[in-house]
Amino acid sequence: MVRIELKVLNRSGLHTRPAASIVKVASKYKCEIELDKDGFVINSKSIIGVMTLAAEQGSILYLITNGIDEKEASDEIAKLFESGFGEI
Amino acid sequence: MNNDLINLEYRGIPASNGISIGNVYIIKKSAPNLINKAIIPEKIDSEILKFENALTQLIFETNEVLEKVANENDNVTSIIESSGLILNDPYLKANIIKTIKECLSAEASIVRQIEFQKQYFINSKDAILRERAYDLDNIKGRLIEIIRNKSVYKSLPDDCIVISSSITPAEIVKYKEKKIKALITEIGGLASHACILARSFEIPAIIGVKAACKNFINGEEIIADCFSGTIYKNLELTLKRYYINEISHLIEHKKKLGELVQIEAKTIDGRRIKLKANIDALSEIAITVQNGAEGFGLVRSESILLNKNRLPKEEEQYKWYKEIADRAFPFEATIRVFDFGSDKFSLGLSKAEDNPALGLRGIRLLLSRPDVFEIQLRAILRASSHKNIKLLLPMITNLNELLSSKEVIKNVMKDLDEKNIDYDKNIQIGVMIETPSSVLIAKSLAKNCDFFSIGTNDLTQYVLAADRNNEFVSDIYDAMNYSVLKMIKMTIKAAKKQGIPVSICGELAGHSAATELLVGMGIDELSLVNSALLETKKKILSLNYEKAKLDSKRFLIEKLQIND
Repeated sequence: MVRIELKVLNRSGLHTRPAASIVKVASKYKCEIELDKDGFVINSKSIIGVMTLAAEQGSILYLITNGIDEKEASDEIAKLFESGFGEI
Repeated sequence: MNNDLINLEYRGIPASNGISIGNVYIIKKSAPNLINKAIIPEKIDSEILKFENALTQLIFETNEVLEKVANENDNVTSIIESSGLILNDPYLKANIIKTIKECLSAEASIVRQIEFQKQYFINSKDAILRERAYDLDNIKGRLIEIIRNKSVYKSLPDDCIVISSSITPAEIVKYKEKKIKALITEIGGLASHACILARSFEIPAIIGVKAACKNFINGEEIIADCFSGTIYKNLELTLKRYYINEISHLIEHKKKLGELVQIEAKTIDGRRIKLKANIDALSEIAITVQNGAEGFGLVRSESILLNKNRLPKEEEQYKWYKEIADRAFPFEATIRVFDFGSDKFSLGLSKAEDNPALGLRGIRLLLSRPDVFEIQLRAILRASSHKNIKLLLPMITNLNELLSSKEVIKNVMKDLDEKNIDYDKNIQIGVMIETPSSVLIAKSLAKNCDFFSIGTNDLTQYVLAADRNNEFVSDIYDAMNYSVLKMIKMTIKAAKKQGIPVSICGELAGHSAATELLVGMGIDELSLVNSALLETKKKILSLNYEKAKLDSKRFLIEKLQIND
């Protein structure tokens, strides 16, 4: 299991488009991928779930990946967050 | 006919500009409300199959639409893509199947699960997320239509005005092909995906027209004035003639501008310059949007005081800012807080000021009158829930004024938090660079704010100590004066170092001779009077950024002795 801390950098937060990017990337991997915001845990392969987090700019999330390709999935999603989903 | 019934008016919210005259075509959507329709256990498998088939069909329809918009801009494709992702959401699907297995019909299970998910969106503090509830409604509605074997598109005649309770992004794409003349809906939000699409496809639209499906009949001729959000029926000839005339004006106007409006302002070698509009009044919004403004780079909020000798109350101000923000969406509106002095507005000062331009004005006045400042900030922040408002502070001359203003903003935010009022917690705060002092301390200002906006009119006046309205010194007042240009260059340099964007508002921005120089200096954004928007865009499209950079560098070294 890999657990890392992520920060939402882009101004508009995890609205539709960033949420869609997360789901698209997460769906490529076999492992379980969860996002935890203030104890509210959702599955990252569900766009409704990711949007429901309503994570604003500056919020801290935890990404938990668990399974055969957990490291790769964790790295790629972390990169998405770091790039501000291409919105910076 | 009874006189009262002639030119009968209905009102809604203008969602996409334009004027249309056409025949009504009503698309009725039955509101599915079958929360508890039970089935016998033997029917579970066939109900699951019904649901799965409908889902497959809807995914197919969505993919079809996605192919059609493949060449549109990112905004459009990502909207359709995201509804596709919702349809492919494995948890939504699993939950609906689970509900069917609890002996509820497919339709009832769809309604129950989507309504359940929707609650999260509706109860969100995030206004944009609340708009996404419409997307779920659309999906729910369409799935049930498919199950009931309804197709809404087939019978749609060409050139009609469609009236419907609500509208999906996929429907808009189909309507575009059918060349519908306008779109009227009973519900929906300005930031909804459907409205964003209507704007990018230039389909005139009015939303929020109460009981529209009941108040009109199929085939009757109506006028949809989507600039003001007014619909007329039982048309009288004079009104119709007036609008036919307006439409031909619009067509002419559009022809004259050619395709410029839709094109992004970009140099030949791809440097993107944002072109925004300066606005003073709500009435100016429509025309600037029509001319392709990418939002409003300078909203002079003091114009709300025009013809008033009292300060508008918070609610009145809020409505004004909110309408500006909504109509700018998805673009941004930069609202400059009140910039007035004792000459413009009675402040109850004990003594008249001899020289108001150098007196208690702009941020000085606001900081000395926290009652005025706080009410305005509250109103602006409340209007910021779509996260597309930026705050701009005028007449800053020292760092302390910026820090004190930020303190006031923080306190107003705290108060809003306590009252649980929604606003943009990360609202960007910018400094208006218009005093020589602000240029000289630009570096420390840049470290403490999110953007700069250079107000060239006042900057010129203060740098050259010449009143632009005084004919005796009007030859001295020159925004292209080397001292002014040097100030602009220094500001851009400080901003770039700190990585914050710089825009120029003020007449210099629309000065055709200045465009190349400003672009070459590295400006990110120009905010212009409406009449200069397209001319400036034309100019930018013809520029080569690398060459402009070299030319301006040479100019700066030769004329201004600036070498960096």
